[in-house]
Amino acid sequence: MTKQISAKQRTETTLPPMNFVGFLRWNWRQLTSMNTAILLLVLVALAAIPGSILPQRTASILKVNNWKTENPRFAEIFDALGLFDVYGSFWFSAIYILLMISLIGCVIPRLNVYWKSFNEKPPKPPKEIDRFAGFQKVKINKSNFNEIESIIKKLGWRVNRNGNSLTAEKGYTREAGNLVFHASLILLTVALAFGALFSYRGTIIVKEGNGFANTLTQFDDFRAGKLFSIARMPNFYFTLNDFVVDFERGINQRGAPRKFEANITLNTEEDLKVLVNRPFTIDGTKVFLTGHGYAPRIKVINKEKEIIFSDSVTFLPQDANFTSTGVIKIADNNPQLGINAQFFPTAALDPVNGLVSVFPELDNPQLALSLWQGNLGVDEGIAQSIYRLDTSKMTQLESKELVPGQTWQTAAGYEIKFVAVEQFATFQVAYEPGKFMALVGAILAMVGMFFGLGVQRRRIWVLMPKSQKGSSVIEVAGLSKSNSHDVTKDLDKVLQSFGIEKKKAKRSRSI
Amino acid sequence: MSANSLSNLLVYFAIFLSSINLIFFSFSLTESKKNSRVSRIAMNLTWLIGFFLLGGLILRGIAAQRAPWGNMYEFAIASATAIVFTFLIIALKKDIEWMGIFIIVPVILLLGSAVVVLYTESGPLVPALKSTWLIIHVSAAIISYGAFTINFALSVVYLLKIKGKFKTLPSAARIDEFSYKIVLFAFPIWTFAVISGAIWAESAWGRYWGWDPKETWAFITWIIYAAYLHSRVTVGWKGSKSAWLSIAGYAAIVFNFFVINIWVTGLHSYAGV
Ligand code: HEM
Repeated sequence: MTKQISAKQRTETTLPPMNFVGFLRWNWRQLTSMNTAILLLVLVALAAIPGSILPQRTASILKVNNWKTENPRFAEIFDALGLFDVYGSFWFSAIYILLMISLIGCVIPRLNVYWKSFNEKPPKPPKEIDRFAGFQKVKINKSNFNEIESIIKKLGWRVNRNGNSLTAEKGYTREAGNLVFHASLILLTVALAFGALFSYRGTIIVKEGNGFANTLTQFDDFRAGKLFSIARMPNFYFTLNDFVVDFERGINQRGAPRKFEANITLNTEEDLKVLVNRPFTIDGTKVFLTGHGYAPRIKVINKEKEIIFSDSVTFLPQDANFTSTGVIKIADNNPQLGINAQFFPTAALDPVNGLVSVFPELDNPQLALSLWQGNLGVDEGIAQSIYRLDTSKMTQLESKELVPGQTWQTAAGYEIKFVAVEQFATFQVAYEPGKFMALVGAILAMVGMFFGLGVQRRRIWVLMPKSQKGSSVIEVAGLSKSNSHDVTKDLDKVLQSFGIEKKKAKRSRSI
Repeated sequence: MSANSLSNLLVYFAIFLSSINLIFFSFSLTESKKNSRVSRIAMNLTWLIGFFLLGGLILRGIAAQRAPWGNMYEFAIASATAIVFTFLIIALKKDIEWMGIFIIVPVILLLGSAVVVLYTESGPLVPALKSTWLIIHVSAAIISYGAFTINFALSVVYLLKIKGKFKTLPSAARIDEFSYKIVLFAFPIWTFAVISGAIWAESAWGRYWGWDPKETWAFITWIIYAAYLHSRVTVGWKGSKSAWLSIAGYAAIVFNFFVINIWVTGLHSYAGV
């Protein structure tokens, strides 16, 4: 095994030959050298850092945009460098692809060497074995070297015998383990890349009593790999019958969520209970319960007693006590109307902040509304967030706090009723192909590492210079191929199996 | 007294004893004779600290009715326990009393920051953290963190040793070799921690790897220690270059625990820090 290249050899390989093939070969050798592999490992670690500090598109586009407006000076440069999508950027991919090439270039020649090593016998003992670890001369009551050979073989050593001397070697599984380990890293990377190309995931908000069908238009947020195609999306739908949530009421961690439970009915008419961490799988797609919130039902009636709005509105939770904000836009009315609303599941009056929510459950629900009139800006063709009211061309009329069931008679003649509070649940729909391959890769990596790090390659020699009748003197010594292994322990074991008890030496306690 | 306050009391005792042990261990550092009376006292005291921490941890688990590593405070206490016991178990076979001071200092720092900064009353877990994989994943992380801490301490000792400090300690080459063996032990466990974390993430969020900041730093840590192993086995790095790599690996661990957990929000944010 080519373990360490001598300094001399190394300087020789760094001189590039002048022809093209030689140049390629030189590059290949550089790429697959261990120094390069270590450099690439360090580079991959460094390259991963910015993605953990800067907001990433893959996690939240909103946060990326916020960061960009806050730091206009760097926004463009950072974006051009792919710093908001580090793990999909060309330079990150370049590093790990180089690492994989280097890995393959490392593994294949070693596979070859390993294959050959099966047919090779361990080399003959060196001339002066007394220079090696654990050298000792011992008297044994065996004169037949065949017997010695078979005992050593039985201990699992591979033996090369020459007359009255033999070399035995052990620990070949170390190399096999190492190879399996590195090969499975390649498998793992392929699986990861496969997943990144073909996966999709999206979030959906479903109000109690409503349903969801797995089509692109129904997602509030959707992301897919570069090679994903809509045709592959499984066809399913479900209805959210009701949603149960429970919060800690004790003093410790008051308000922390303790139970989420969504009761749904699938298109197969099967009833399911979806819990956090307990998703359901349908056609290879997993559906997770990830969050929830309140959806107050509101009804607006105009002067002519016509209902101009009646629906439950999803309010986005803003804090742990579910103070939530929501918006209603009534574009069909003349003038257009807008409502900015805040919802407090357990309202309380704070001397500084005014109305706040002090607990996430509906102990004292209140809705604070402010009514606007004017131009909603929805007709201008620019996509608008349904959670934001653009008040730049509107005027505020009045505001009021309501409890469920209460109706507000506004001065402008509208009648606004806070009918009831419903809930909504957020689901994550995820399709992640290649995960089985990744799991196999990971398990093989663990197994390979177990042998690659746990087994030590070592060699021992046994010589019987002259044999006598009945008893003889043998010479033994050994060599460990990894510096963390103590080969004298192996010698002790071999001698023990010859019936020679180890001298009760003081156990070494030094490190 | 409730299990929770009893647990706190034991942790405070452990901090107190560790501070006293600083004195004993610094004496035993200056003695060239092994197994001196002072180092025997220091080691016994360390056992006591270990059991106090273990007791504190168990009581915490009883108070919360679950594995006691559901938030940063508990994770810190558990890691300190792992550091102390890794040290004690090695000490059953090897004379490493001289290492005590380098172990007890990080333990005091960790426990100190746990009670001062990270403390939370015990309580049940948020639903997203309820999983058997949590127990497996986190306990693997804790065990490998314990061992990596010892490797870190040894790397620091190595660097001081080659500057001519600590004449009474084993040779620099021995310390170097020993710290390498610790990585051989810790690295596979850390690998397992990362893999089980990925399995847990798959079952909780539908993706096994999402480059969440915590995952990213777990990956960085893994890569640095892989580079460390490689540098030794294949290019024959030893001594200070290796030591600096292992310090970099430990810096990634510390960064992941203190900086990422507290300042960067991701899916992995714990309940109540
Ligand atoms: C992608 C990251 C990699 C990881 C995590 C990794 C991990 C490991 C580990 C844990 C060992 C065992 C060290 C020991 O025996 O003490 C090892 C050995 C080795 N690795 Fe890697 N490796 C990686 C990439 C590579 C690459 C790219 C190459 C090739 C250029 C490579 C070549 C080797 C070699 C030659 C050994 C020596 C094994 C022996 O002792 O016989 N590795 N690797």
